[in-house]
Amino acid sequence: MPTNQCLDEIQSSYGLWIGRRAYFRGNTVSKISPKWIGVLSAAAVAAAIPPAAAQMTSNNALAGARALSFLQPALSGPVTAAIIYRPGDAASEAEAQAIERALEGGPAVGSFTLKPRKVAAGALAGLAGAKVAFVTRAASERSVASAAAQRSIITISSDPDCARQGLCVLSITPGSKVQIMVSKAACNAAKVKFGAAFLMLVKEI
Amino acid sequence: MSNFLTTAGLRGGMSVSPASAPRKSQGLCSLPLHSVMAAIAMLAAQPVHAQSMDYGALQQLFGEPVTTSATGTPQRVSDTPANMTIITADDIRRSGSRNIPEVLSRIPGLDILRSGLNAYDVGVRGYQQATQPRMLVLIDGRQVFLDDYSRTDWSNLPVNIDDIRQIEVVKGASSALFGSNAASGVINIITYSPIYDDNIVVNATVGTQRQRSVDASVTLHGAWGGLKLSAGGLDAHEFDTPRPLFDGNITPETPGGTEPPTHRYVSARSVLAAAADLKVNLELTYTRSVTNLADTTDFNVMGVQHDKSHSVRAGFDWDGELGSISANSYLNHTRLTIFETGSGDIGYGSKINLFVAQLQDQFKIGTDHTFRVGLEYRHRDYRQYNLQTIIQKPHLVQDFLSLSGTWIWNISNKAVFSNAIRYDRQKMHQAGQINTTGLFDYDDYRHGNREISANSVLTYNPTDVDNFRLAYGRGVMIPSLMQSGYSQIIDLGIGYLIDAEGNPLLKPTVVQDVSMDYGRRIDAIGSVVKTSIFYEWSRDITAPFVFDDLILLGDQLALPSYARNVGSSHGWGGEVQVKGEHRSGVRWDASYSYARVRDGDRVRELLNYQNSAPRHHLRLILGYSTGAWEFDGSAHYVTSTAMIRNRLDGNPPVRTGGYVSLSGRIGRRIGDRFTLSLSGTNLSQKETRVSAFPAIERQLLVSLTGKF
Repeated sequence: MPTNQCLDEIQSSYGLWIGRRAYFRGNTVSKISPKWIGVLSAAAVAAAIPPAAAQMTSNNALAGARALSFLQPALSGPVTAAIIYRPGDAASEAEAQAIERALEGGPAVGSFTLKPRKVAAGALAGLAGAKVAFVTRAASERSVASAAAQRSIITISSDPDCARQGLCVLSITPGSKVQIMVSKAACNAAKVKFGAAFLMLVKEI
Repeated sequence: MSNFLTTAGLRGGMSVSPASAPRKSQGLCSLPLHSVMAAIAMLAAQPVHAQSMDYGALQQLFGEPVTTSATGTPQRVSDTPANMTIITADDIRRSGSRNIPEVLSRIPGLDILRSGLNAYDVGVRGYQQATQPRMLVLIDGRQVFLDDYSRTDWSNLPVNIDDIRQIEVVKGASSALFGSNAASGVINIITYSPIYDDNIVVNATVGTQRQRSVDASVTLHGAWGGLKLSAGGLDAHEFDTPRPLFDGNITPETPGGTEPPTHRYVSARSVLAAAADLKVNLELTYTRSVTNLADTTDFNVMGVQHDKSHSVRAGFDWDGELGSISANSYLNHTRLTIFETGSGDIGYGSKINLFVAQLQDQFKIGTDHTFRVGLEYRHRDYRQYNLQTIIQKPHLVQDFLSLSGTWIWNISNKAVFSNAIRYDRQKMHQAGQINTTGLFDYDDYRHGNREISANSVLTYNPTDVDNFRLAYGRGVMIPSLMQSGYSQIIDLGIGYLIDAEGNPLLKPTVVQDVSMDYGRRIDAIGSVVKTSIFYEWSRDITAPFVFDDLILLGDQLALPSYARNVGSSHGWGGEVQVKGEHRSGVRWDASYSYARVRDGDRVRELLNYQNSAPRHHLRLILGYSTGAWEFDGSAHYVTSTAMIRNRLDGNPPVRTGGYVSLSGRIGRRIGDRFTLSLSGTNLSQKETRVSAFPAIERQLLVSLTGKF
């Protein structure tokens, strides 16, 4: 049986395929909804990026959001989720856009609802009030990690090196099988704790 | 074994006869409750299956089911170091079945033996018999396996099938994790969580055989925790197919003494969130049933069983400084009466108590090593009530103390080495009144056994889509309470007494297996392919009642019959399965399993495992969903069997030809909340002889399910 992840991907592909079909049927760009323009743009940007620098997909952003439900104590109510990006870096902006889109509408996970807010890497004061931060690859650096840890913000990245170096609390690796890495050092720095069952299922470093 | 059966056995001749984490919230440290629990943990440190684990959220996160049944620690099903199949709630719904064994029949390597409308046994890897002792069955980690005969009474489970999240099936020795009775595998039924899941569901079903059933579950939860109440019942008529006392092909048919099958159950389960990292579990269940079944202790003579059981359970899960500490304690009390066909109102009665206290700690050392240590105390006792010529009131008492551990070593991102070991120390004594002039006296009961169970598995995942496993398992099967402690002396007016006894000196059966599995996800066809081969050998197999030479009981002649270790048996085989689905809504599951058993001479004579299960089993399950409709169908083909059955001229195997069985379901959603379905089993024939037992009939069911 294909995993749900696999099915999600099939569905994602199917969505893109519908988009392409609509495009090639002769529809003008103006007839394509802004949602599809966003999806196609994100796909185009994603395609231009070499695999080694794979970015967080909407599926992974959602996986990151779901992982938050294993925090102890549990999050509740509306939770501000910062999306830290580097202005001027096309890949970083596209990744931020993909994450924002995934979190659009405030996906309810467990007893909390994420409210996305983009924050430039050079303006980390914007992290005020956030409890969670999705860190784009280009913004994965020590100054961001320190600012987040000081505010007890749980940082999530698609870059395994981010967690490996203790710069992020969580990394969600893109791929056909969800792989999650948790940095003990980053957890301690941010004073956050996950449930034991969750930690048994992830790679803790 | 009732009085009548002994007589039946005698008719068969003298030689072979019947009767044979991390940071803890600071405020909690000072709480006395935690201190007490920590102290308990120190004193005591099995798999206490995380009662409060959020299976749904973990499945959503990882895109696949999560289980604790393979190692006692949470794992993704694709990472488990065991030959495991998980049946999801969707699979159950689409099967159209209202009972668990029929759902399990979809799993390659399992064979279902049906001896009545609601009488089932689930065999594994070629080992099949009525009152199947090799597969341990649990509901949310609580044993529902009965220790009397060592079996599962599937008709009497206190569970709503619509409240099952998943059924986890592990094939292969699992005693190192679950203890004795999981000698060839374990079936763990996981229901929806009272604290994390909203499952309010009601089902009403009517069908042929005048079947009527109603099941309901209601969940309430809040910041305090959750409470789930389930209740239901079944009434039906037994199949009308002939139910001869002995094999119908040989003897004149004796009017079958059957009763209408019934089932009633109620269960209450709660999880209280005592703190962010502490959950307390409580559970109460009551269930009773009437089943027409086969009595394996008497060469499968048919009988009517009245079974009443209740249980109480309490435990906790605590994520503390010492790791994830779980405790689980429960008491199962069962009262059974079996009226064997032809024995009139004289029933064989028994009371069985099982008390289990488990404590385990799961923790990680470094990033690559996960450990689980567990301590378990188990007490079981068995009282027997039946007709005695020489007054006896047997009361067998057994106590077990077990220490177990699991070590999972992530050698690399691709290779994992998993090991589990368990040491069991058992003591027993006879607390009742027995006749000591027979085969055994009180001293024979006063002794113990020590056994070791183990599992070792190397898993290698060269890619995200491939999985290899090489596994060894050593399982232990403690003799059943009946085999160890039955005692009946009766005068049947045949010139001598019958002295039917259990045998307290029986050695446990040890089952060892090696297996190799390979699985691959093939996204191009939306399928997963799984293959497996295994070899299994069992020594010191026990047979229930075997007759011996005449003895003197005081001044009276008596024919003794008692349980014995009768030799060994070997089995081997394999499975291939392709399962998948397409975005168009089409799904498929095709599998083939082969299992061959070779018994030692005495095992073949008395139990005949080697011919009791079909060697070949083909399954094809197809389904299609479109809009509000779901269409599912399955076809099974099994080859012939020859299970032993009591007959007037001895106990030769009764041959049953191969057969094809068709089942199907059509379901339609009505609005957002209701589903109406029509399902059927054994659709191709009105009646099918599937075993040495009475033929089964075609069944049709109409179900209305509401989810709120």
